[in-house]
Amino acid sequence: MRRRLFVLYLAVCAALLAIEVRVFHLQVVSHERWVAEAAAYRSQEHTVAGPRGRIVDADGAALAEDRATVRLAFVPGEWASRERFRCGACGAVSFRASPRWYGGPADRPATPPRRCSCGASRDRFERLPEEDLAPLEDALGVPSGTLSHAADETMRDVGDEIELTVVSQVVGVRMATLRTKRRQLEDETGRPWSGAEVASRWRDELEGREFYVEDARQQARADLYGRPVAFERFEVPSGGTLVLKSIPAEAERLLELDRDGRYRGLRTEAVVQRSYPRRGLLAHAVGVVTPFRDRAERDAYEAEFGKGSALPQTRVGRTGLEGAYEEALRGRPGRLRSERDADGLFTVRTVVQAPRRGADVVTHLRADACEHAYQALLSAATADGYGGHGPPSGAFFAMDPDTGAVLAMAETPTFDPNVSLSEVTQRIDEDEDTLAQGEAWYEASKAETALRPLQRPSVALSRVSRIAVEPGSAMKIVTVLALLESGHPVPEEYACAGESRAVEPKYPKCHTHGLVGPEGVLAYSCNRWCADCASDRAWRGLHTTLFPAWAQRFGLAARSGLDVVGEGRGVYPRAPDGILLRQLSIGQSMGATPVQMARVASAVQNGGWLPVPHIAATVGGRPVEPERVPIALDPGALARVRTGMRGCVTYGTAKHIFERPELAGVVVVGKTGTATATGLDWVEPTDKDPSDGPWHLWFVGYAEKPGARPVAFAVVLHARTRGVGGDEAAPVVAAFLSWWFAS
Amino acid sequence: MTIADRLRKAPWSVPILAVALTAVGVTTIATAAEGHPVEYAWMQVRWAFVGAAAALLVLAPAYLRIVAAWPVLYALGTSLLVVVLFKGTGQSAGRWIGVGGFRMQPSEFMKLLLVVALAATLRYSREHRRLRGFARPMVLVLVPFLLVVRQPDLGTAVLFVPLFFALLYAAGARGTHLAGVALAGVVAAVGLAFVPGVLKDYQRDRLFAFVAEHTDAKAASALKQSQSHQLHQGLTSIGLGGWTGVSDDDGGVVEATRDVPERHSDFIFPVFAARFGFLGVTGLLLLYAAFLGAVLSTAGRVREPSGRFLVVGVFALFAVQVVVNLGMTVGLLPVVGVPLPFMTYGGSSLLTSFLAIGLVMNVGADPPIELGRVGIDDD
Ligand SMILES: [Zn+2]
Repeated sequence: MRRRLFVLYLAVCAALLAIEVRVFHLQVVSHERWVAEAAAYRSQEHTVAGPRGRIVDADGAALAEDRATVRLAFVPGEWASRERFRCGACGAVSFRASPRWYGGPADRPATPPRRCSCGASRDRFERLPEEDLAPLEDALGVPSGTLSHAADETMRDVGDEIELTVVSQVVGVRMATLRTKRRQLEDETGRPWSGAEVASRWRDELEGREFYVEDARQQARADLYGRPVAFERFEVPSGGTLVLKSIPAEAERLLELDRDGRYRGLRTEAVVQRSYPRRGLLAHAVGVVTPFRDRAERDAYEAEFGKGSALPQTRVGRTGLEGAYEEALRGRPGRLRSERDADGLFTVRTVVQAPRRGADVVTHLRADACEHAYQALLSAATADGYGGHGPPSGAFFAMDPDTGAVLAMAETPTFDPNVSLSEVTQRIDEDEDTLAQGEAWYEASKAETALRPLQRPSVALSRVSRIAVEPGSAMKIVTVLALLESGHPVPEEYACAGESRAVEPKYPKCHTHGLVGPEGVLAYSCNRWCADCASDRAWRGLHTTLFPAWAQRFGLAARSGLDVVGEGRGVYPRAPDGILLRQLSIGQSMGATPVQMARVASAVQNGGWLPVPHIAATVGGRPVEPERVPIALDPGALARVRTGMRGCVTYGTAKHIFERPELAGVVVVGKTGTATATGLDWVEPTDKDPSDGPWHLWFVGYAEKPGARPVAFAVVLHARTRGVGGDEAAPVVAAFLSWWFAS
Repeated sequence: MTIADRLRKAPWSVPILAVALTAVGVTTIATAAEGHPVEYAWMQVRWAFVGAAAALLVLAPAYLRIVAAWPVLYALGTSLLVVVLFKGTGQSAGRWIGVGGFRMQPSEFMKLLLVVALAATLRYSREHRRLRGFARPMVLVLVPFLLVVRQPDLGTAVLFVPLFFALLYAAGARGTHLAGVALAGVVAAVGLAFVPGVLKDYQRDRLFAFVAEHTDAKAASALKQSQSHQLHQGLTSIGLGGWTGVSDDDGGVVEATRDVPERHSDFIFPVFAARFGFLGVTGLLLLYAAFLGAVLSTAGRVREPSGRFLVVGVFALFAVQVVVNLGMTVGLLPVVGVPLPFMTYGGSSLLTSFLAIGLVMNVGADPPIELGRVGIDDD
């Protein structure tokens, strides 16, 4: 028997020895590992977004910037620790948790700290009365009692959440199940159920596991009480809700300087918002930022810009410059470390890596120039005389014909990107879809005749760079150049029958004018010269390839390379037949944007290249190099076209328009356009002859003044029921140029 | 013999070591409970005094009379377990019953009552030398075992099993028989664990968490979030202790152990280990070894078989609790709710432990004369 007892004892000692060895391994051999694990548990690192770079104009005026607003935040854990004790020896104030919020009795006071950091013992502490929140409430402009009411409501919500968390942890019921259960109970009984009441359904499971429950509760408290809640919208005691999007400076100061902790639990929280000070002006060019729409988009962003670049709060450039220069503009995220304080709350914060601000984008254009262009455009694009859907529509675009630097742009209608952004971006998405479908349809149909115009184009799409319409007679610049360079003769003294003629084809109509050669065609805008030359039986075969080639040469039906996201390509048929050639020669059955037409004018001005338009002058301090697409033009042909376009202004379809004292010494060279708006949706369908309008009115050209920078421009007024390009569109340019060359 | 006589003749090493362990326990509980609204350490001290008084009570009658009363005691304990099982409504009946202002855990007392019952049935029997003789003690163990499993209190139920084997082994049962029964038991238990309804979800999760932590390195980190969170936090606390314990420079023990769930009760050892380090742990294990040795040496001195079995039973009870509790907190055994004797906070557990000490003292103080019948082989 003794031997058996001895064996039993040996067995137990062996087991204890095994435990001893295991503890040795834990405490001595792998000690470092556990120290690291504990540190990891006690501190958390999280990423904070860096501010986005600014977009500023040539004068340094901001077009887009991150603006910090300060809002009110509420930290439940701090609110729970509102009881304050002052040390009688050193005067330091200590905070202690109120048992009321920790499941203790409501009337039990908090106990003072055991010892002050100055060494004074517990009995030296004096309990400070709870100071009222009235000064802060006054500064915030909210009714008295609002803050403590809202805080108590929030504390109750968090308390409910804690109880549910405890049940889910200890009993293993999923949180979603608990919430469903709660809703079910509320539906059944017709009254609200608190988290504690729902938790009590699992009372038997929780009972007998008090320690586990208490620990789970502490854990949940530490996590949920430490998390700040935005106090943007909350209940007031008298009923109703209050919205505090940002707080007044007075309240901010009170909170920042609150050394005595009167407002413990309430703190300021900086929120960064993208702000567009010029509002609607340049909204399309500057673009907008939006949150990620889905997980896939976020992943794609991280794949492009690196892991950790996409945070839930990241706003990504969606359109315009914001989209085009995302790489430069985006802020680089930084890292913050949060550590649990003595109460287990994540309140101690240190910056591990400071977030970096994104680079600035500086534009060539000036906001004030755009403002003048916009006003000039508005005075022409009036509601009276507009025959399309929605508000009157038009666009203006001006660039340096040499470098492609965008000097001014304006369009109407526009939108304020500071408000209703979600609505706008939704429209962008919808319209982009429509346009993409249209382009796909165009590609697939090999098409020949039709334009597929946008159904009721929204305000979100740029009239300058996205929406292409028929350029009408403005296209004759390309037509005449192409014919002069084709190598075959063109009529030098052409007798046009004027508004009507007896023989077929009757169309297109023309104006009343005398004999015309190529110059006269551009000055008087003779339709029949162009149409007859284009469809001439002798050269038709050549023209079916020549016309698309020249359209391509002038950058039509292709993106210009403008530095915005969402530029349109326009349309140009690839294999036109004879009838279509007649249409194309006068800018019908095709579509071009003002940007594309201004490039055409630029090539005429410089004679050698198509400049790639750039809005940005510098990105992050580095200049954006000009890009030029060579386009060799025959000097003789070019001279004749310039003469014709100059004639347009001096004696042709735009005569008198530029006879202004401000434009003395300025040479304006241009071409008018009055295009039949064929889009079935752009205009109301009517039984009328489509050539009876409405019309898109254009003026395209350039202006030079010795000693000044030349300007190439294009302006379009959409769907006008009356007037012609010379009378309506050219004055917009005249008004702009008057200001431009004077300033 | 009076209480005074028994107190004089009792083996005092046992209670002295028990009180030392209780003192260590109280200080550790004070550390573990820091910040809790309830003063657990003081409550434990009060329970220790209640326990000491109860031990005196057990010293009053001769232990043979206690052994003789085993059917009454066994029936009382079992019926309390039944009461607990049917007292409540809902998904489980809980494991507590209210007695006046107190709540007690009948399964704790049942451990000791089972020791008495087994000691009584084994004392003059030689049947257990044959396999057939296992039946009676096995029935005695199985009834409370199943009742406690149903509570559910797997931890306490598990203790009954080694108790059974230790006593039969001490009583001279054949090793092959014991091994055979153990094997059959394991097969049956594993089978039952997969029968729906036998184990609660959290019990099954804990078992699987333990297996995963030991077999799959990848699972270890994933499980941090789930059921083995407790074990992981416990291991972290132990690991933080180093050679001599967490110093105040490192944020102190409270800081190091705050995240260990149930650190006052089943997971008190990580708190001790964090506070006193490897040297402290070595001291504690030696203390337990000395205590268990003192108990067992009492059994060695006693010739009367029921007294001997009583002490061996108490020894087995303590030894198994110590080994299982420490084994689970250091990650060598799955986490089941087994208290660490004298250290874990809990009135019922401490009271039972002191009652057991009282029994050992009673037996040690009063070795009755063996009346001619040969009890147990000294082989
Ligand atoms: Zn004509």
